[in-house]
Amino acid sequence: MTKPTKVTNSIRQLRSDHGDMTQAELADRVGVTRQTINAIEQGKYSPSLEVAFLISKVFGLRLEEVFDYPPEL
Amino acid sequence: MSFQAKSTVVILTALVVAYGWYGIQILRLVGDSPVETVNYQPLMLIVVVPLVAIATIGHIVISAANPSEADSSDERDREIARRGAVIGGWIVSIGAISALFAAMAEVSHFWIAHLLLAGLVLAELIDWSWRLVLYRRGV
Repeated sequence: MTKPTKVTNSIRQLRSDHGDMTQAELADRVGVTRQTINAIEQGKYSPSLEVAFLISKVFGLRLEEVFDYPPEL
Repeated sequence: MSFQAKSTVVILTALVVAYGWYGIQILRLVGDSPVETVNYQPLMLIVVVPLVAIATIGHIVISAANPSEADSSDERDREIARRGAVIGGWIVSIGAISALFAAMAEVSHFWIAHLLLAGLVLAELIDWSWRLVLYRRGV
């Protein structure tokens, strides 16, 4: 099945690099549910710009260092 | 599964059980006598009781199972709800227009009422089913 969004991200790796942060911890800091963080990681949900910025801020990175979009072929 | 996804399952269950029961009762009554004489009005009002009861008990159970997540929702839940409601709105409109034509054709009140009810119930069923699909498949 094709994923609903082409937006990719490195949240899972970043959580691991930040002391094995759990999805629940990240969700609490961003203000969404744990299931939404899981859906974003799996490419099942493309977050709003505001949530994407908040996630990036938690890891101290710029938006494009966390999220990516494949170039048009 | 998030609280809102569980809530979707509860509401779908309540709809299927309550209106499934209503459908069976109506079919029995229609089988026994002509539709013009079927006393459907009490049933149509009473069916709301099991609907609300099942939905309420279901929500109490899923809230008690995980109190910290009770009634929590975020932007993903709102987007899923919005997409479900868009489809539901179309079905309600189709039901209302069908009932309008039935009224113009001077069809029995029984059929007009049931066209409206079918539109409302189908809209809810499709709305909440679509939400469940979106929770599983992604948005």
